[in-house]
Amino acid sequence: MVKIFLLLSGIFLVCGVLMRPVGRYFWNVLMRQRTLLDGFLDPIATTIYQICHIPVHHDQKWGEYLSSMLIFNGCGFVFLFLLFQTQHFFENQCPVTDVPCWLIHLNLAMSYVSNTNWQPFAPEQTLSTFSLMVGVGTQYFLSAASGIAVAIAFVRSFKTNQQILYDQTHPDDIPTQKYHERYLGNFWVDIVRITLWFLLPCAVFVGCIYVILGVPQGWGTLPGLNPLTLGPIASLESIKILGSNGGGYFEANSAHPFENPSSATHFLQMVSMIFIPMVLFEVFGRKITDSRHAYTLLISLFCILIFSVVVSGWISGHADIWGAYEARLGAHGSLLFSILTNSSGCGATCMDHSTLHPVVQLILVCKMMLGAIDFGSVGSGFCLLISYVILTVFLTGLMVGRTPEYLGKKIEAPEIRMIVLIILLTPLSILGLSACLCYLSPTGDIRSFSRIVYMLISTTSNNGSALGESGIYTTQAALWITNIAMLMGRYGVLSAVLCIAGSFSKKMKIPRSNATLPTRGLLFASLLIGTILICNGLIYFPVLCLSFIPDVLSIAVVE
Amino acid sequence: MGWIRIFLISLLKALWKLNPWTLRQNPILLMVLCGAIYSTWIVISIPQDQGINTQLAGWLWATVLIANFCEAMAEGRGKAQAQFLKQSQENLQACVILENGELNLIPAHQLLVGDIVRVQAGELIPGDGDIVSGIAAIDESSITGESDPVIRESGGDRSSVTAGTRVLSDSIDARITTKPGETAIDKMIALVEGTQRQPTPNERALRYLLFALTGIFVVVVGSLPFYTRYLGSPLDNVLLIALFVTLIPTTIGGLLSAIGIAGMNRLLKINVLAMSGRSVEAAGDVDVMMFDKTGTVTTGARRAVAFYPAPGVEMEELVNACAMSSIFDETGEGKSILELAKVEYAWETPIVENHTYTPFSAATRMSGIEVDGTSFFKGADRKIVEFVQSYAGPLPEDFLSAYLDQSHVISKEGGTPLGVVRHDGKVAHLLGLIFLKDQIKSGLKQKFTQLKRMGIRTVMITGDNEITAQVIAQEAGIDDVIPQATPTDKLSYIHKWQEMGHNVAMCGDGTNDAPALAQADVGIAMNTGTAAAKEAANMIDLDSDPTKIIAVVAVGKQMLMTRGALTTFSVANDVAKYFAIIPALFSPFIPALGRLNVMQLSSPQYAILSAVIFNALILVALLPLALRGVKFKPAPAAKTLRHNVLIYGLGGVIAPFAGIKVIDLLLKALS
Repeated sequence: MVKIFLLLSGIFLVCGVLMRPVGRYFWNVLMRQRTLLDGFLDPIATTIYQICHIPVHHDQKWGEYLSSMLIFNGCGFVFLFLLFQTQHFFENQCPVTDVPCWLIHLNLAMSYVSNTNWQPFAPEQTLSTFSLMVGVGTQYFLSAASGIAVAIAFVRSFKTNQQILYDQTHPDDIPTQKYHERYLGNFWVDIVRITLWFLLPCAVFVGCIYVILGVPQGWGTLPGLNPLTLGPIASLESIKILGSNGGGYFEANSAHPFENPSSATHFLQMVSMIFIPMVLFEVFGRKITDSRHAYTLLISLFCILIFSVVVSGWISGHADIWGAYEARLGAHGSLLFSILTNSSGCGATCMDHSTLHPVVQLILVCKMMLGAIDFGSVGSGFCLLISYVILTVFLTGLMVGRTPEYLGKKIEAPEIRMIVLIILLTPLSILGLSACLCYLSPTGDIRSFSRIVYMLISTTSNNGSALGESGIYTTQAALWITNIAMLMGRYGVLSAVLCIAGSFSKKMKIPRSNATLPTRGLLFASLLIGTILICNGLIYFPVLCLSFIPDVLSIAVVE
Repeated sequence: MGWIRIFLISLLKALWKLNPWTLRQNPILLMVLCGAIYSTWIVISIPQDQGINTQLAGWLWATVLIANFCEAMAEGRGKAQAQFLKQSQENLQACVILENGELNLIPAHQLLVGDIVRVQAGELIPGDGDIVSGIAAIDESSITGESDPVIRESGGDRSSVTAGTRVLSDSIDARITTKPGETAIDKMIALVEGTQRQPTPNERALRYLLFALTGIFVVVVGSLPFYTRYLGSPLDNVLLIALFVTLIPTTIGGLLSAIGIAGMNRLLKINVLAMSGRSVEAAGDVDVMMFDKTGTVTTGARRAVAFYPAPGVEMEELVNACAMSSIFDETGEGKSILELAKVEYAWETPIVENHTYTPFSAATRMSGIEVDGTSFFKGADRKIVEFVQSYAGPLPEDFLSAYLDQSHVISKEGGTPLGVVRHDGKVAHLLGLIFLKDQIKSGLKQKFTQLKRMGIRTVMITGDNEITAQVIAQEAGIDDVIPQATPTDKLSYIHKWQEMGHNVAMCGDGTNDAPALAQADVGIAMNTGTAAAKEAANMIDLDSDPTKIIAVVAVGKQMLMTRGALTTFSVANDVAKYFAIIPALFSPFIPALGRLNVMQLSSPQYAILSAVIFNALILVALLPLALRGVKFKPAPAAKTLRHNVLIYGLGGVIAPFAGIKVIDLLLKALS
């Protein structure tokens, strides 16, 4: 327990110290203000704008922003799929299964574009080094940047303040309400700036440390019983974790000694998992000019995280079941890594989750089920969290007898309609699709059902981690169904979020008063936690009762 | 008596409301109805022993019926209330004045807008309208319950008459302004009866949420048979339906419209007519409140509190002049001057003969008495100076400035200065000033403090000058004033605050208030006000009591709070229902899940049955709360929230555990 806490506090210390300066820098980047790297990056950005004909000063409405995002990701998907399909001209790579190769490539392309990185097949056997470097490596940056861009657009919508204008010359007339539309920013500019100014420097910095710490970066093959192909592992590794992608260079992911050679790299990986999400909170606080709101959210998440770490650490220690961990990384380090990876939507794994204590498995699946809001997979987790905040404000705000509002924006039918879509989409994807898969598969036991549920939760929440090995992951039905789950989980949620942002940006800001529901402080934090837990609990309790809970209960019986 | 009737009618209506066409507006209840029909069909079609399925089907029907009954009950109560108001309007006869001057007697419902009717003493007024000629004392007790008659006269802001009220004296001619059947009361009855009830914006948002919750539980429950089939053990469909019905938010779904109707009803009870549900809801959001000084903040009557003699004038002389000028003054102000003179200065009423009394008039702005050639007048300070100068020529500079300074001091303290003059045929003497003070209504300060704690900014509209207005505002705890207000001032003030995102409520009665009433988010017109004001407003106060705006805000807030509280309660209830039903449903093939039966319910069958019974009975238990509304205390939002979350959130989690356990024990005892 003490070890886990020391590790956790170390991680938060590093993130906490870096959060403010990096947040300030990132804010400047997003506000298009002067930054350190301008001299070097401005010419590159200008060239990109010119080549792609990007109207730099055009402010987009939510519809434009959304369609830009979808087009951008769609192109990325097509590019990746074609790249995978043509890679056999260079190296023939396709695992030996009865599933058609193109379906595997389709699934992989979707999984990389949607920031899920669900890898049912070993990547080193499925993809060439070239595909990994050019296709996957690029997508690691761009999928993370897309998520961040949407989150930033959402944050911008809280800041806009539309005024009712009326004809001053005829004050006796009842004014017609005219709105000045002020929009969400420009997606293309956001993508360029986020990638060049923010993700790239971070990744280069972290990548260099990896190289120093012994992660290979270079070409060649290591001779031996099982010859190992080397590649640009350090550079991929840094953005894999920073961008909460989580798809490894090797099948063993972060348990592989090349990807994660020592406890030092292990620590660095855990730091990078929650670093960007925390920076986003800092940016949020700056944008709405009230950090206390951001910290309230951060503290609520922290409470959930601490709770899960405490319970997992205690129960693992008590029962002395730590699972099949890498001796090099340590039992405590591996447990914490597993919790963090499922919390943050990263999905990189350093051990086999299915060997952990059943209670820890339940906690892992619950954390994933929350949709990576707990320190958020970059961007999308943050959006989901704000959606839950809006839902909380709506439910509890009614109880103070006032039309609910968050950060001065009234929450009315259009926003609730979208929130409702979000909270309906996720169970529809997880529960509905696992019902489909159950229908398509022959009967199985609770263990294999648990794997189905885990797989769908993992793909819907764009996490990408898996619960041990299972033949069920590689069936044709599973590939199709995870495709749909990733699509719904990523783009369904992001579209609805942008729609809310659009309607918020058209609203004027309501000043705070004594009657306004306080949306910061401990009371609100506990309400938020309560709403998140009860909402998700109500939705997933029955399915968990059939999958993970029986194991937990039967262990309790034995004891 | 009335109660029993409403109860019986509601029972019948609950049955009638079972038809899917009526239920289509409430998808949650429609779902329950489908479940009930399906399970009944299963019970009937499979003849062998059904176990608890028969009882389950019965309780599903009961759930729909009870929910329908709740709605019918709320409607019935509202209707009874509105009918009471309407009663007075039935079987009215109207005496229409035709163009050629002849009179024509027709039934009131045939009246057209623009008709002019004559109403004699003792007759009932046939329709809402404005008096065009005449003055009358009118008994409005049939709508307000107040037995004191009120005076209505043509022109000005007191010209409006309401259908069903009785003319006590004289005769009036009134122009009908509203078609009978479309009056404010008729609109309100339509709102309560549901024929015109549109969901309010907030209600619509809540409906979306409830709809989504229902959808989620369709997915949650609908996917279960696939899972259990995969695991190799099928589930009983009736039990699944029972699980589904207990999970969907039937509590709030069944009571939602009852809450809305009950809100209207509470408004009717305080004699306020709302023209739309939207305005009631908007009232809960109000954070700026505008009202007139006179009648709201002050009693309207001012009292004398001090006399200030002019330089070189004896106090005794001034007191005598003041008292003499007021000796026949019937107004409250005059009486208070006499009282002050008698109590403070031991002035005794002389025997007065041969006097002429000049009452106050708008033109002279003075009143007074003439006794044996000497006159005593009091009046507006500047008017008095003009009067004196017209006899005595220009007053000495320092004398005048001392007088005006004193008058300024009085204004500054929130009073009205009255000048006093003695005039003996040729010469006029300026004697001094009377300090008349506005009497702030008692208990008002607490009311405004409450408003402040609710986060509402109060604004006073007054014709007074800025200094006087500020002083009164400070004394009563009002945040802002609009002094010497013109209609444009009021309108632009509302604009200004709305632009900043505030919701403004305003009450008014005059035609010149109409634009402001229309612009305000909540405009409350006084029933005594003009037709234009009533047309522009979205609420009408039958008692014409401007302070009622506070009660209206409370009703609006209460309605939102009741909705929020019941939604939270409904969702929180599901936790316990899961713990009752899930172990019962799954423990046959996953025995470990038996440990989730934390309530130690006697058997799986009774566990499910208890949950369904609890789900139906909680509707009955919460109906009084829905009708009465959640208790509302003016307090900061954080405090209200903590209180309500504890009661309805935490209570909602705990209560069903106890309830289901008790029902289970009862079932066991009965079997």
